[in-house]
Amino acid sequence: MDQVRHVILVLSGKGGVGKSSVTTQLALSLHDSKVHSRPLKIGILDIDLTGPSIPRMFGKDVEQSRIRQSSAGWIPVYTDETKEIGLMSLGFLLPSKKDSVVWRGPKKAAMIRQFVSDVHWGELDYLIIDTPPGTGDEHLTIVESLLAETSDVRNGPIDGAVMVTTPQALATLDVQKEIDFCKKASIRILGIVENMSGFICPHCADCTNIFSSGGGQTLAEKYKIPFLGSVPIDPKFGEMIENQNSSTNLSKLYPETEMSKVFFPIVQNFFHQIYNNRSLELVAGLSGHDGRVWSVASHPVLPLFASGSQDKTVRIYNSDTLQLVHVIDGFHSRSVRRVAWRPVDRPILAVASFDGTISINEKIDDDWECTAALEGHENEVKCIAWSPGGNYLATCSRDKSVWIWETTEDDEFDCMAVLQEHTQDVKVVAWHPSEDLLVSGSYDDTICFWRDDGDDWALTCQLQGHQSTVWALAFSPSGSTLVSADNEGNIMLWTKTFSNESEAINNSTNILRPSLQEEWVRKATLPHVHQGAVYSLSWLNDKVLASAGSDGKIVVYESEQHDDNIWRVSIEKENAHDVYEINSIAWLGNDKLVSGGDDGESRIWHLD
Amino acid sequence: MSAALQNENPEVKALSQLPSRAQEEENLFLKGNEEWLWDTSDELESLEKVRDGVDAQEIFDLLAKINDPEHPLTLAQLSVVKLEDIDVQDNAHGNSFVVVYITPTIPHCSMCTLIGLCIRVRLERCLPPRFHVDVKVKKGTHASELQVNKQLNDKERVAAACENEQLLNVLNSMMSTCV
Repeated sequence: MDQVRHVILVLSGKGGVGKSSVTTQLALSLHDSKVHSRPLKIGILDIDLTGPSIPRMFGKDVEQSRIRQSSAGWIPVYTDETKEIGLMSLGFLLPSKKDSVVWRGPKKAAMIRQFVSDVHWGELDYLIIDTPPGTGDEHLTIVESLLAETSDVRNGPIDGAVMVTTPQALATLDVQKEIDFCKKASIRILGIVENMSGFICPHCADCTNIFSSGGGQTLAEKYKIPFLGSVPIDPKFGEMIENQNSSTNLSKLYPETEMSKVFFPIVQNFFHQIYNNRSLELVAGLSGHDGRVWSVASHPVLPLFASGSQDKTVRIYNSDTLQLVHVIDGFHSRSVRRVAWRPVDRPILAVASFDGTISINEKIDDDWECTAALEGHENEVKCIAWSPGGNYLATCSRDKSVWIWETTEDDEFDCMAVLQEHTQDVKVVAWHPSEDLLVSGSYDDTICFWRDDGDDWALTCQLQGHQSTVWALAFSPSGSTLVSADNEGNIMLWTKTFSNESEAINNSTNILRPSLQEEWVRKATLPHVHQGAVYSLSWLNDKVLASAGSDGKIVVYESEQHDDNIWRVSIEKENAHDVYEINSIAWLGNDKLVSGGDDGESRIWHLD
Repeated sequence: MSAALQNENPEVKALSQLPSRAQEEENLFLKGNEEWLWDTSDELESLEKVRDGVDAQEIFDLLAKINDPEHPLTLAQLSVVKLEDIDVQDNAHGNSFVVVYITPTIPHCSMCTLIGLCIRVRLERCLPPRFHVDVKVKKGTHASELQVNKQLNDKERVAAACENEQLLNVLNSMMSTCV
């Protein structure tokens, strides 16, 4: 059980409410949900010993599907060869489907304990446990067994319980007992699903409320538990279940049905409950710029942030008080495209402009001065980035080149390298947090990696994973992952591979200097939420990442605790700048975010 | 502009052949006259809807009079901009979308990007901020369709180009005949 990520209990007060049907639909909908970039692995444990119906729901004839044993334990019966949905039920252990299970308490308890300890589930995202109606031995035993089995690998035995009820008030009376059970057993209630809520006519698709209505919602309100949604009776669903045979596959058929569309919002609410999703609340909107805000940047140490705009000025604010501290004006003759703070204790800001120059502005005593001007690019400068130690400044331009400048002792800047491998405008440059590694992204759709090989900076890798302009690049704070985003809204995560073979293949004539060629591979693609270009990416920490773009959305992604290849959307803030596009975002401290948009405003958000 | 014209003999439409709202309203009025015995409230409603939302005809009217950079003719007369190649999705207070497909007069027209840029600038100046504009070359009408589309839809390049004074002068003279 140590590779099972979430354990969910499905309960009901009465029998006949359709709990197994809800369990089946929950499993299929979770499997099919696009919350991660791959289908979820689901396990269903049917401990309704006196009426084990899960095998029938999936069309598994109990007489033909047998549970096999391996050295690791019992193997669940999988619904198809992908092994993404696995079933375990007493039904599979009975010699015949006509056999009844007439067992006393202790034998049932022993069976349940075996189901928990002896089944080899493998890696599962969700284990859904279908329980008998009411509260009884089985419920107590399952909670105890899970506790015993998983206390050292999980925080609590059960992540939550989903309750199934029917619309009549009478059925809901019994649910109250379930709610009480959960309270006593300290099980979190994720929500109520109202089943058999109306009948969908197969001919006219009109929904008639056969069993009165509103019971589930009333219960939810009364006991202050979330209402996940209602599921109607659809005769087609029953037909589909009955007509399964060895060639049809429920997990492929289900996503096409009307029922799956009805169940979709229920799963969305379910995720909302499970993940305790956070939200971004607007704190303030700072106006003042007379043109779009192209770039926002926060100082790594001091409580300052800056915004650079099309109006050729830079506004510097105190990020605690949100007061305007200074306006840099009059130096650049065209739009300010990017601002970047030098990673040192003093306030030093590099400002890049479409006029082809970069100005370095410092606060000395109480005045801000422009202490250096870097010229050399042939046309607009698109991006600048300071190396983690603050010694190098990388700049890139529409002239297709990347320049690396080095600071000298008297705070002058010397150009130490001009890198020309891109075939089109270079849109973005970013440094690795600890190694001397620079990456650049371009209009030519590629990402280039550059390292210092002693004499010069050399190209060590070129990635062609994107099919449109690469607008944003950022390394995670630990340096293990690179995230990149393009003009179509795709966001990809890359990591370096280390293979001994690649070193052997790259013959180097110089035995003292090993080949610098390196390989980076795509390890994951984030869920595709943006509908348009993603212009900016920013890491909060190794597990949380934010993105923003032309669709005006700010999206925050989180990776799973156990696996950082699996990411889900934790916040999707639409219309963050009303109808305007967002050009840049940056985290301020641990819980605030600043975004700059085409409306000329910098908006501050709080992460709740 | 170069000494030799790119396209010496373009096909020109007469002004009367261009789609316009006056024609549409006249049709509506004639239709209305027949039906007014039946129900006038519907007609009023549909006229109102036409006025409130931005539709393809309105976009066309904004673009029709833009001058071609080479010929003393407008984009509408040269059929570079056509009413049927404009897609509008107007959501009164939310995000709205406009896609304009342009048809260059010849497949190797090098003025194509300039014309596309001018259309973008014109719409950015005239439409309310809720509109997201896309200008594309109509499929199959230009040899470098993909490159032109990529340039026209790169926000940064468009913004930088609009800061270029020389280019801005050319664009303004193209739009000088527009109201």
